[in-house]
Amino acid sequence: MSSLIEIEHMNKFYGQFQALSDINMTVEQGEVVVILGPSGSGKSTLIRCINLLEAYQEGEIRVADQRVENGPNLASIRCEVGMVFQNFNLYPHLTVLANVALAPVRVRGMSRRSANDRARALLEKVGMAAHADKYPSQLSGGQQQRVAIARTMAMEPRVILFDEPTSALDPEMVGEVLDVMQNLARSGVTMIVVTHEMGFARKVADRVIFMESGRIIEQNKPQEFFTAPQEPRTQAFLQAILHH
Amino acid sequence: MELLHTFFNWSVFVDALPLMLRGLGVTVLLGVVSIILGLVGGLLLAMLRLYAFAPIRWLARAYIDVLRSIPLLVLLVLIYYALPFVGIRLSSFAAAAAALSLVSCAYSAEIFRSGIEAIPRGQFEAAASQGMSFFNTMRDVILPQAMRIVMPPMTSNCINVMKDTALASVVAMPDLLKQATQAQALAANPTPLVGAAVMYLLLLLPLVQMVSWIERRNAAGGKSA
Repeated sequence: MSSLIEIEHMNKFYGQFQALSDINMTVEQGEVVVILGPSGSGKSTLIRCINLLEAYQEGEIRVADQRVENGPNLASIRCEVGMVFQNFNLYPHLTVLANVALAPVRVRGMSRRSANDRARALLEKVGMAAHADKYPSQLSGGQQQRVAIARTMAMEPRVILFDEPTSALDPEMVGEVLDVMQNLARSGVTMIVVTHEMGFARKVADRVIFMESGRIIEQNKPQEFFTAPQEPRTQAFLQAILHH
Repeated sequence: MELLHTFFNWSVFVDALPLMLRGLGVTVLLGVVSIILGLVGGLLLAMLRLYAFAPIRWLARAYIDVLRSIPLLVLLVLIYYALPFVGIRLSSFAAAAAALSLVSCAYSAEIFRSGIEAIPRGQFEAAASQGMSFFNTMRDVILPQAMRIVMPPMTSNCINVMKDTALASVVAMPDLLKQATQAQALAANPTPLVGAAVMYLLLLLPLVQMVSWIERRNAAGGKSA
Protein backbone atom coordinates (compact mmCIF):
# COMPACT_ATOMS: atom_id res chain seq x y z
CA MET A 1 0.00 0.00 0.00
CA SER A 2 1.71 3.16 -1.17
CA SER A 3 1.22 6.61 0.31
CA LEU A 4 -1.01 9.28 -1.18
CA ILE A 5 1.93 11.57 -1.87
CA GLU A 6 5.47 10.32 -2.33
CA ILE A 7 8.44 12.57 -2.98
CA GLU A 8 11.81 10.97 -3.69
CA HIS A 9 15.16 12.69 -4.07
CA MET A 10 13.56 15.78 -5.51
CA ASN A 11 15.76 18.72 -6.50
CA LYS A 12 14.64 22.07 -7.80
CA PHE A 13 16.78 24.80 -9.33
CA TYR A 14 16.22 28.40 -10.30
CA GLY A 15 19.01 28.66 -12.84
CA GLN A 16 22.17 28.02 -10.85
CA PHE A 17 20.48 28.41 -7.49
CA GLN A 18 19.28 25.21 -5.87
CA ALA A 19 15.96 25.99 -4.20
CA LEU A 20 15.19 22.47 -2.95
CA SER A 21 17.73 19.77 -2.17
CA ASP A 22 17.08 16.05 -1.96
CA ILE A 23 13.52 16.27 -0.69
CA ASN A 24 12.14 12.94 0.54
CA MET A 25 8.74 12.78 2.15
CA THR A 26 5.45 10.91 2.11
CA VAL A 27 1.97 11.93 3.12
CA GLU A 28 -0.66 9.37 4.03
CA GLN A 29 -4.36 9.57 3.32
CA GLY A 30 -6.04 11.60 6.07
CA GLU A 31 -2.83 13.02 7.44
CA VAL A 32 -2.35 16.69 8.35
CA VAL A 33 1.24 17.76 7.73
CA VAL A 34 2.44 21.23 8.70
CA ILE A 35 5.62 22.58 7.15
CA LEU A 36 7.49 25.14 9.21
CA GLY A 37 10.66 27.07 8.56
CA PRO A 38 12.12 30.54 8.13
CA SER A 39 11.21 32.69 5.10
CA GLY A 40 13.01 31.57 1.97
CA SER A 41 13.52 28.05 3.23
CA GLY A 42 11.60 26.60 0.28
CA LYS A 43 8.36 25.62 2.03
CA SER A 44 6.06 27.26 -0.50
CA THR A 45 8.21 26.16 -3.40
CA LEU A 46 7.97 22.58 -2.15
CA ILE A 47 4.18 22.43 -2.05
CA ARG A 48 3.92 24.31 -5.35
CA CYS A 49 5.95 21.49 -6.90
CA ILE A 50 3.35 18.96 -5.77
CA ASN A 51 0.79 20.32 -8.25
CA LEU A 52 3.49 21.49 -10.66
CA LEU A 53 2.84 25.21 -10.38
CA GLU A 54 6.62 25.08 -10.06
CA ALA A 55 8.64 22.64 -12.15
CA TYR A 56 11.19 20.38 -10.47
CA GLN A 57 14.26 19.14 -12.30
CA GLU A 58 15.36 15.92 -10.57
CA GLY A 59 13.79 13.12 -8.60
CA GLU A 60 10.13 12.27 -8.55
CA ILE A 61 6.81 13.33 -7.05
CA ARG A 62 3.88 10.91 -7.17
CA VAL A 63 0.28 11.59 -6.25
CA ALA A 64 -1.83 8.44 -5.91
CA ASP A 65 0.86 6.54 -7.83
CA GLN A 66 0.83 8.96 -10.74
CA ARG A 67 4.04 10.83 -11.53
CA VAL A 68 3.55 14.59 -11.40
CA GLU A 69 4.84 15.86 -14.72
CA ASN A 70 3.79 17.91 -17.71
CA GLY A 71 1.59 15.91 -20.00
CA PRO A 72 -1.89 14.58 -20.51
CA ASN A 73 -2.25 13.42 -16.88
CA LEU A 74 -1.43 16.75 -15.28
CA ALA A 75 -4.99 18.12 -15.29
CA SER A 76 -6.38 14.98 -13.67
CA ILE A 77 -3.65 15.07 -11.01
CA ARG A 78 -4.46 18.72 -10.31
CA CYS A 79 -8.10 17.75 -9.80
CA GLU A 80 -6.93 15.57 -6.90
CA VAL A 81 -4.62 18.21 -5.43
CA GLY A 82 -6.41 21.35 -4.31
CA MET A 83 -4.58 24.51 -3.37
CA VAL A 84 -5.40 27.45 -1.13
CA PHE A 85 -3.25 30.49 -1.83
CA GLN A 86 -1.80 33.21 0.37
CA ASN A 87 -3.60 35.88 -1.66
CA PHE A 88 -6.86 33.91 -2.07
CA ASN A 89 -6.83 34.33 -5.87
CA LEU A 90 -10.60 34.30 -6.09
CA TYR A 91 -12.03 35.12 -9.52
CA PRO A 92 -12.99 38.79 -9.02
CA HIS A 93 -15.52 38.95 -11.87
CA LEU A 94 -17.59 36.05 -10.51
CA THR A 95 -19.90 35.90 -7.51
CA VAL A 96 -18.90 33.86 -4.50
CA LEU A 97 -21.23 31.07 -5.61
CA ALA A 98 -19.90 31.08 -9.17
CA ASN A 99 -16.33 31.01 -7.85
CA VAL A 100 -17.08 27.77 -6.03
CA ALA A 101 -19.20 26.17 -8.76
CA LEU A 102 -17.03 27.00 -11.80
CA ALA A 103 -14.44 24.23 -11.82
CA PRO A 104 -16.84 21.37 -10.93
CA VAL A 105 -18.92 22.34 -13.99
CA ARG A 106 -16.00 22.85 -16.35
CA VAL A 107 -13.63 20.14 -15.16
CA ARG A 108 -15.80 17.50 -13.50
CA GLY A 109 -18.61 17.96 -16.02
CA MET A 110 -21.15 18.45 -13.28
CA SER A 111 -24.48 20.07 -14.15
CA ARG A 112 -24.66 23.74 -13.20
CA ARG A 113 -27.56 23.03 -10.92
CA SER A 114 -25.95 20.35 -8.82
CA ALA A 115 -22.68 22.30 -8.78
CA ASN A 116 -24.58 25.29 -7.39
CA ASP A 117 -26.30 23.11 -4.81
CA ARG A 118 -23.00 21.72 -3.66
CA ALA A 119 -21.40 25.14 -3.70
CA ARG A 120 -24.13 26.37 -1.34
CA ALA A 121 -23.58 23.43 0.98
CA LEU A 122 -19.83 24.10 1.06
CA LEU A 123 -20.34 27.81 1.67
CA GLU A 124 -22.58 26.82 4.55
CA LYS A 125 -19.72 24.73 5.92
CA VAL A 126 -17.29 27.64 5.90
CA GLY A 127 -19.91 30.05 7.23
CA MET A 128 -20.24 32.04 4.02
CA ALA A 129 -23.67 30.97 2.76
CA ALA A 130 -25.14 34.42 3.42
CA HIS A 131 -22.59 35.97 1.04
CA ALA A 132 -23.15 33.64 -1.91
CA ASP A 133 -24.28 36.40 -4.28
CA LYS A 134 -21.59 38.93 -3.39
CA TYR A 135 -18.41 39.58 -5.30
CA PRO A 136 -14.99 38.87 -3.73
CA SER A 137 -14.14 42.58 -3.50
CA GLN A 138 -17.09 43.04 -1.13
CA LEU A 139 -15.62 40.59 1.38
CA SER A 140 -12.96 40.88 4.05
CA GLY A 141 -9.73 38.96 3.65
CA GLY A 142 -10.79 36.26 6.09
CA GLN A 143 -14.10 35.83 4.29
CA GLN A 144 -12.35 35.63 0.93
CA GLN A 145 -10.02 32.96 2.21
CA ARG A 146 -12.95 30.92 3.54
CA VAL A 147 -14.58 31.15 0.11
CA ALA A 148 -11.29 30.06 -1.44
CA ILE A 149 -11.27 27.01 0.82
CA ALA A 150 -14.83 26.17 -0.24
CA ARG A 151 -13.81 26.61 -3.88
CA THR A 152 -10.95 24.18 -3.40
CA MET A 153 -13.14 21.63 -1.64
CA ALA A 154 -15.71 21.80 -4.43
CA MET A 155 -13.41 19.70 -6.59
CA GLU A 156 -13.31 17.05 -3.85
CA PRO A 157 -9.53 16.75 -4.05
CA ARG A 158 -7.74 13.96 -2.21
CA VAL A 159 -5.33 16.44 -0.65
CA ILE A 160 -5.38 20.19 -0.12
CA LEU A 161 -2.21 22.27 -0.13
CA PHE A 162 -2.33 25.44 1.97
CA ASP A 163 0.27 28.03 0.97
CA GLU A 164 0.53 30.39 3.95
CA PRO A 165 -3.26 30.79 4.06
CA THR A 166 -3.28 33.34 6.90
CA SER A 167 -0.17 35.38 6.07
CA ALA A 168 -2.04 38.06 4.10
CA LEU A 169 -4.77 38.48 6.71
CA ASP A 170 -5.29 41.11 9.35
CA PRO A 171 -4.65 39.53 12.76
CA GLU A 172 -8.30 39.55 13.81
CA MET A 173 -9.23 37.42 10.80
CA VAL A 174 -6.65 34.70 11.22
CA GLY A 175 -8.77 32.83 13.74
CA GLU A 176 -11.84 32.36 11.53
CA VAL A 177 -9.71 30.82 8.76
CA LEU A 178 -7.80 28.56 11.15
CA ASP A 179 -11.13 27.38 12.60
CA VAL A 180 -12.33 26.34 9.15
CA MET A 181 -9.05 24.53 8.52
CA GLN A 182 -9.26 22.77 11.84
CA ASN A 183 -12.77 21.54 11.04
CA LEU A 184 -11.50 20.24 7.72
CA ALA A 185 -8.69 18.40 9.45
CA ARG A 186 -11.13 16.83 11.90
CA SER A 187 -13.34 15.63 9.06
CA GLY A 188 -10.43 13.61 7.68
CA VAL A 189 -9.27 15.79 4.77
CA THR A 190 -5.62 15.24 3.89
CA MET A 191 -3.78 18.54 4.24
CA ILE A 192 -0.30 19.92 3.75
CA VAL A 193 -0.06 23.33 5.37
CA VAL A 194 2.74 25.85 5.04
CA THR A 195 2.25 28.34 7.84
CA HIS A 196 3.77 30.42 10.58
CA GLU A 197 0.93 29.63 12.98
CA MET A 198 2.64 27.58 15.69
CA GLY A 199 -0.62 27.12 17.60
CA PHE A 200 -2.24 25.48 14.59
CA ALA A 201 0.76 23.22 14.07
CA ARG A 202 0.75 22.17 17.69
CA LYS A 203 -2.99 21.56 17.89
CA VAL A 204 -3.96 20.19 14.48
CA ALA A 205 -0.91 18.65 12.82
CA ASP A 206 -0.27 14.92 12.81
CA ARG A 207 3.29 15.64 11.78
CA VAL A 208 5.50 18.70 11.59
CA ILE A 209 8.23 19.13 8.99
CA PHE A 210 10.94 21.72 9.54
CA MET A 211 12.74 23.12 6.52
CA GLU A 212 15.73 25.38 6.12
CA SER A 213 17.75 26.40 3.04
CA GLY A 214 15.74 24.13 0.77
CA ARG A 215 16.22 21.00 2.88
CA ILE A 216 14.03 19.04 5.24
CA ILE A 217 15.91 19.28 8.52
CA GLU A 218 13.64 17.37 10.83
CA GLN A 219 10.16 15.87 11.00
CA ASN A 220 8.27 14.57 13.96
CA LYS A 221 4.97 14.44 15.79
CA PRO A 222 4.09 17.95 17.05
CA GLN A 223 4.45 16.94 20.70
CA GLU A 224 8.03 15.76 20.20
CA PHE A 225 8.83 18.45 17.68
CA PHE A 226 7.95 21.34 19.96
CA THR A 227 9.18 19.88 23.24
CA ALA A 228 12.23 17.89 22.20
CA PRO A 229 13.61 19.05 18.83
CA GLN A 230 16.61 16.96 17.76
CA GLU A 231 18.47 19.22 15.35
CA PRO A 232 20.33 22.33 16.55
CA ARG A 233 18.82 24.39 13.71
CA THR A 234 15.31 23.37 14.73
CA GLN A 235 16.13 24.27 18.32
CA ALA A 236 17.40 27.68 17.23
CA PHE A 237 14.28 28.30 15.11
CA LEU A 238 11.89 27.34 17.90
CA GLN A 239 13.90 29.34 20.38
CA ALA A 240 13.58 32.45 18.19
CA ILE A 241 9.86 31.92 17.56
CA LEU A 242 8.60 30.86 20.93
CA HIS A 243 10.46 33.41 23.02
CA HIS A 244 8.46 36.40 21.90
CA MET B 1 -26.78 84.23 -47.47
CA GLU B 2 -24.16 83.35 -50.05
CA LEU B 3 -22.49 81.13 -47.48
CA LEU B 4 -25.72 79.33 -46.64
CA HIS B 5 -26.47 78.84 -50.31
CA THR B 6 -23.04 77.35 -50.93
CA PHE B 7 -22.52 75.07 -47.95
CA PHE B 8 -26.01 74.35 -46.65
CA ASN B 9 -28.07 74.23 -49.81
CA TRP B 10 -31.25 72.41 -48.83
CA SER B 11 -32.43 71.39 -52.30
CA VAL B 12 -29.00 70.04 -53.23
CA PHE B 13 -28.95 68.14 -49.98
CA VAL B 14 -32.40 66.64 -50.51
CA ASP B 15 -31.45 65.56 -54.03
CA ALA B 16 -28.29 63.87 -52.80
CA LEU B 17 -29.82 62.35 -49.70
CA PRO B 18 -31.02 58.95 -51.07
CA LEU B 19 -27.61 58.12 -52.52
CA MET B 20 -25.84 59.37 -49.41
CA LEU B 21 -28.01 57.24 -47.15
CA ARG B 22 -27.18 54.24 -49.30
CA GLY B 23 -23.53 55.25 -48.95
CA LEU B 24 -23.95 55.52 -45.20
CA GLY B 25 -25.35 51.97 -45.18
CA VAL B 26 -22.30 50.71 -47.08
CA THR B 27 -19.99 52.58 -44.71
CA VAL B 28 -21.64 51.09 -41.63
CA LEU B 29 -21.67 47.60 -43.12
CA LEU B 30 -18.00 47.83 -44.08
CA GLY B 31 -17.14 49.17 -40.64
CA VAL B 32 -19.06 46.49 -38.76
CA VAL B 33 -17.70 43.64 -40.87
CA SER B 34 -14.12 44.91 -40.49
CA ILE B 35 -14.52 45.48 -36.77
CA ILE B 36 -15.86 41.97 -36.17
CA LEU B 37 -13.18 40.34 -38.32
CA GLY B 38 -10.56 42.51 -36.64
CA LEU B 39 -11.69 41.53 -33.14
CA VAL B 40 -11.88 37.81 -33.87
CA GLY B 41 -8.58 37.84 -35.75
CA GLY B 42 -7.00 40.00 -33.07
CA LEU B 43 -7.96 37.63 -30.28
CA LEU B 44 -6.62 34.68 -32.23
CA LEU B 45 -3.43 36.54 -33.03
CA ALA B 46 -2.95 37.59 -29.39
CA MET B 47 -3.29 33.94 -28.31
CA LEU B 48 -0.68 32.84 -30.87
CA ARG B 49 1.59 35.73 -29.94
CA LEU B 50 1.43 34.78 -26.24
CA TYR B 51 1.06 31.02 -26.07
CA ALA B 52 1.94 29.31 -29.37
CA PHE B 53 5.14 27.39 -30.03
CA ALA B 54 8.14 29.62 -30.64
CA PRO B 55 8.18 29.79 -34.49
CA ILE B 56 4.44 30.55 -34.65
CA ARG B 57 4.86 33.10 -31.91
CA TRP B 58 7.56 34.87 -33.93
CA LEU B 59 5.37 34.80 -37.04
CA ALA B 60 2.46 36.33 -35.14
CA ARG B 61 4.74 39.00 -33.79
CA ALA B 62 6.19 39.74 -37.23
CA TYR B 63 2.68 40.00 -38.67
CA ILE B 64 1.60 42.40 -35.93
CA ASP B 65 4.66 44.61 -36.34
CA VAL B 66 4.46 44.74 -40.14
CA LEU B 67 0.73 45.45 -40.28
CA ARG B 68 1.02 48.15 -37.66
CA SER B 69 3.77 49.81 -39.69
CA ILE B 70 2.22 49.81 -43.15
CA PRO B 71 -0.08 52.73 -43.99
CA LEU B 72 -3.64 51.51 -44.41
CA LEU B 73 -4.09 53.33 -47.70
CA VAL B 74 -0.97 51.70 -49.12
CA LEU B 75 -2.21 48.26 -48.10
CA LEU B 76 -5.63 48.94 -49.59
CA VAL B 77 -4.15 50.07 -52.90
CA LEU B 78 -1.86 47.02 -52.94
CA ILE B 79 -4.79 44.65 -52.38
CA TYR B 80 -7.05 46.30 -54.92
CA TYR B 81 -4.63 47.25 -57.69
CA ALA B 82 -1.67 44.88 -57.25
CA LEU B 83 -3.25 41.54 -56.36
CA PRO B 84 -5.11 41.27 -59.72
CA PHE B 85 -1.69 40.80 -61.30
CA VAL B 86 -1.43 37.45 -59.50
CA GLY B 87 -5.00 36.57 -60.34
CA ILE B 88 -6.65 37.68 -57.09
CA ARG B 89 -9.41 40.06 -58.02
CA LEU B 90 -11.44 41.39 -55.09
CA SER B 91 -14.48 43.61 -55.23
CA SER B 92 -13.93 47.07 -53.81
CA PHE B 93 -15.93 46.08 -50.72
CA ALA B 94 -13.94 42.88 -50.17
CA ALA B 95 -10.64 44.68 -50.75
CA ALA B 96 -11.57 47.41 -48.27
CA ALA B 97 -12.86 44.92 -45.68
CA ALA B 98 -9.67 42.85 -46.07
CA ALA B 99 -7.34 45.83 -45.68
CA LEU B 100 -9.26 47.25 -42.73
CA SER B 101 -9.56 43.99 -40.81
CA LEU B 102 -5.97 42.87 -41.53
CA VAL B 103 -4.68 46.07 -39.98
CA SER B 104 -7.30 46.22 -37.25
CA CYS B 105 -6.55 42.70 -36.03
CA ALA B 106 -2.88 43.61 -35.61
CA TYR B 107 -3.84 46.53 -33.40
CA SER B 108 -6.48 44.66 -31.44
CA ALA B 109 -4.04 41.76 -30.93
CA GLU B 110 -1.72 44.12 -29.10
CA ILE B 111 -4.60 45.53 -27.07
CA PHE B 112 -5.78 42.04 -26.09
CA ARG B 113 -2.24 41.08 -25.20
CA SER B 114 -1.81 44.06 -22.89
CA GLY B 115 -5.11 43.17 -21.19
CA ILE B 116 -4.19 39.52 -20.71
CA GLU B 117 -0.75 40.41 -19.40
CA ALA B 118 -2.36 42.71 -16.84
CA ILE B 119 -4.16 39.78 -15.18
CA PRO B 120 -2.29 38.69 -12.02
CA ARG B 121 -0.43 35.38 -12.18
CA GLY B 122 -2.49 34.12 -9.26
CA GLN B 123 -5.56 33.94 -11.49
CA PHE B 124 -3.80 31.57 -13.88
CA GLU B 125 -2.50 29.56 -10.93
CA ALA B 126 -5.91 29.28 -9.27
CA ALA B 127 -7.43 27.98 -12.49
CA ALA B 128 -4.50 25.63 -13.12
CA SER B 129 -4.67 24.28 -9.56
CA GLN B 130 -8.28 23.29 -10.21
CA GLY B 131 -7.32 21.32 -13.30
CA MET B 132 -8.95 23.77 -15.70
CA SER B 133 -7.88 23.45 -19.33
CA PHE B 134 -6.23 26.30 -21.21
CA PHE B 135 -9.43 26.94 -23.12
CA ASN B 136 -11.61 27.05 -20.01
CA THR B 137 -9.10 29.19 -18.15
CA MET B 138 -9.15 31.73 -20.95
CA ARG B 139 -12.90 31.69 -21.49
CA ASP B 140 -14.07 31.70 -17.87
CA VAL B 141 -11.28 33.38 -15.92
CA ILE B 142 -8.79 35.42 -17.93
CA LEU B 143 -10.63 36.91 -20.90
CA PRO B 144 -13.67 38.23 -19.00
CA GLN B 145 -11.29 40.18 -16.77
CA ALA B 146 -9.05 41.23 -19.65
CA MET B 147 -12.05 42.44 -21.68
CA ARG B 148 -12.98 44.86 -18.94
CA ILE B 149 -9.46 46.26 -18.91
CA VAL B 150 -9.19 46.69 -22.69
CA MET B 151 -12.67 48.09 -23.22
CA PRO B 152 -11.60 51.75 -23.66
CA PRO B 153 -8.63 51.20 -26.02
CA MET B 154 -10.57 48.56 -27.93
CA THR B 155 -13.51 50.89 -28.48
CA SER B 156 -11.09 53.57 -29.68
CA ASN B 157 -9.67 51.06 -32.12
CA CYS B 158 -13.16 50.25 -33.40
CA ILE B 159 -13.82 53.96 -33.90
CA ASN B 160 -10.63 54.22 -35.93
CA VAL B 161 -11.74 51.35 -38.14
CA MET B 162 -15.10 53.02 -38.70
CA LYS B 163 -13.37 56.29 -39.62
CA ASP B 164 -10.88 54.58 -41.90
CA THR B 165 -13.70 53.13 -43.98
CA ALA B 166 -13.66 56.49 -45.76
CA LEU B 167 -10.39 55.40 -47.40
CA ALA B 168 -12.40 52.82 -49.33
CA SER B 169 -13.69 55.59 -51.58
CA VAL B 170 -10.22 55.50 -53.15
CA VAL B 171 -10.96 52.06 -54.61
CA ALA B 172 -14.28 53.28 -55.96
CA MET B 173 -16.41 51.77 -53.26
CA PRO B 174 -19.77 53.59 -53.10
CA ASP B 175 -19.51 54.47 -49.40
CA LEU B 176 -20.73 57.65 -47.78
CA LEU B 177 -17.74 59.78 -48.78
CA LYS B 178 -17.73 58.51 -52.37
CA GLN B 179 -21.46 59.22 -52.78
CA ALA B 180 -20.98 62.65 -51.30
CA THR B 181 -18.11 63.58 -53.60
CA GLN B 182 -20.08 62.36 -56.60
CA ALA B 183 -23.14 64.36 -55.57
CA GLN B 184 -20.92 67.36 -55.05
CA ALA B 185 -19.51 67.04 -58.57
CA LEU B 186 -22.97 66.60 -60.01
CA ALA B 187 -24.50 69.60 -58.28
CA ALA B 188 -21.36 71.70 -58.41
CA ASN B 189 -22.05 72.46 -54.77
CA PRO B 190 -20.21 71.26 -51.62
CA THR B 191 -23.34 70.78 -49.52
CA PRO B 192 -23.26 66.96 -49.83
CA LEU B 193 -19.71 66.98 -48.42
CA VAL B 194 -20.87 68.98 -45.44
CA GLY B 195 -23.79 66.58 -45.07
CA ALA B 196 -21.42 63.60 -45.14
CA ALA B 197 -19.22 65.18 -42.48
CA VAL B 198 -22.26 65.67 -40.27
CA MET B 199 -23.33 62.06 -40.81
CA TYR B 200 -19.88 60.79 -39.83
CA LEU B 201 -20.08 62.89 -36.70
CA LEU B 202 -23.54 61.61 -35.81
CA LEU B 203 -22.27 58.07 -36.25
CA LEU B 204 -19.04 58.39 -34.30
CA LEU B 205 -19.58 61.04 -31.64
CA PRO B 206 -21.73 58.74 -29.47
CA LEU B 207 -19.02 56.07 -29.68
CA VAL B 208 -16.34 58.54 -28.67
CA GLN B 209 -18.44 59.63 -25.74
CA MET B 210 -19.02 56.02 -24.79
CA VAL B 211 -15.25 55.56 -24.47
CA SER B 212 -14.97 58.48 -22.06
CA TRP B 213 -17.95 57.15 -20.14
CA ILE B 214 -16.39 53.69 -19.79
CA GLU B 215 -13.11 55.23 -18.73
CA ARG B 216 -14.80 57.34 -16.08
CA ARG B 217 -16.75 54.35 -14.83
CA ASN B 218 -13.64 52.16 -14.65
CA ALA B 219 -11.76 54.88 -12.79
CA ALA B 220 -14.61 55.29 -10.31
CA GLY B 221 -15.39 51.58 -9.94
CA GLY B 222 -11.88 50.53 -8.99
CA LYS B 223 -10.25 47.40 -10.29
CA SER B 224 -13.08 44.93 -9.85
CA ALA B 225 -16.78 44.35 -9.16
